[in-house]
Amino acid sequence: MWVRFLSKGKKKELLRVLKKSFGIEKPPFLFFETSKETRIFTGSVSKDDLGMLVKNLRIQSMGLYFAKKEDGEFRLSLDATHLLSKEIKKNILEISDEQKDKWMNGENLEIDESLKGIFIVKNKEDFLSSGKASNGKLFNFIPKERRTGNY
Amino acid sequence: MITPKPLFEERMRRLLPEETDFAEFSKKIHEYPLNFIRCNTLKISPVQLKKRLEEKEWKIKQPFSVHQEIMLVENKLQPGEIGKAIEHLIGYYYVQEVSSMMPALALEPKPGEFVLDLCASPGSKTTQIAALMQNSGAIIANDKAVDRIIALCSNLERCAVGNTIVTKEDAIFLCQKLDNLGIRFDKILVDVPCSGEGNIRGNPKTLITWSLGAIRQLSDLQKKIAISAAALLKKGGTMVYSTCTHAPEENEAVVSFLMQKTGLKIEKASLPLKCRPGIFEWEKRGFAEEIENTCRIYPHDNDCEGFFVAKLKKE
Repeated sequence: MWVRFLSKGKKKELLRVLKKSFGIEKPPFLFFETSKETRIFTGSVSKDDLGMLVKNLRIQSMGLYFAKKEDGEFRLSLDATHLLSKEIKKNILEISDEQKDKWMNGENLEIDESLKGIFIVKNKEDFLSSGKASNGKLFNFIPKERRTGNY
Repeated sequence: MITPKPLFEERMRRLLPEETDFAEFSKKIHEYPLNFIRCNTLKISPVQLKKRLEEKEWKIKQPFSVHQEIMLVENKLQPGEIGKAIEHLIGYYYVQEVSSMMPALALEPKPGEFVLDLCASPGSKTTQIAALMQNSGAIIANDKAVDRIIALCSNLERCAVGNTIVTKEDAIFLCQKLDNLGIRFDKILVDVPCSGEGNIRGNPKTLITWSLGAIRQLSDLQKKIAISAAALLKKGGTMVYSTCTHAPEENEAVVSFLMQKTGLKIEKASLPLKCRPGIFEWEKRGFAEEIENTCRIYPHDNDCEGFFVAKLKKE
């Protein structure tokens, strides 16, 4: 597994965007990148010890998928929105029960055309990942295996 | 209904010599298992989850007051309904048979500890351990088969487990590697591959594939895995050895061998299910007296699947 811990500069940039976009203040995680995404390690192991394990073991996965960077914004994963549910304060898009059924089925939603950028989707008390608003649509990134339609 | 092989029945009669006891066991293994779920406390509290599920008109029972996360769905649901419910898809609960929750409870992982889960897929026990550790410390979760690793990773993500490192290694080889690196663990779970006699209710085909030859082969492998893992335990650390089978060759014989070779001591685990003590003798081979402090979980005692759990301490 290819892993790169975020440099001070990159981490600062990530924290700045999280605060600006969602009001999230300094999440207490260790951030790192793989070839596909930004991930977090929530445990209490030092960067050096993790690095040693990565170097010596056949690691398939580490920590939790946190976000993907898109056009300077971070699109939080479904599970990251759960871990940070108490911290998320901005850019929350509340959806109805009917919209929730479509969203969890993997469908894009029709939304107000004025909305642009990344939003965190919420139905009642449930955070349901993030979506990208553009041209009156909220684009869906719920992973296939987590969609209701796949059962 | 699949008829058990005569040798399987004969062995079970020796483990359950009272006729009524054996008859209850034989009846129970042909009943479909109950629908147990475990609340994922990394995402939602048991109180909140119960309320939500009851709003869907699911009848939820929490059988153990000190383990509110363990829930029984009592009403009959449509096939697949538990798996396709939104609460499952977003990781608010894990579908897990109650006896399979016992090894992690015996292990008692604490926040901040360093834990090894050697045969981890599909992740039911790893996600339970992570929840008990409140996503802190670290877990190395290992399995050697790619398809099983995929299921493990998927379940870890769904449950928002962020303190785990997933490795793909042969268990014995991984232990050697970790030993060479000087890595030691506070807690180790060795939930070994086994003949699955305890899982007949959920997987009746086990009765077809069952063979004494497989039990003997597995016993040898289990001994090697358990010995390799024991070397990685910190002084004062705890190791739990578990199987989902009743065969003494895979249970007491392995634990007895482990105690002899490593000096680990058995400690009685406090578990919420009815446990019968480990047996002292099987096929003219005697086991250590302390083996009675291991736990045999039978399907007809608890209306669950069968399991074996041994808690060992390094002094």
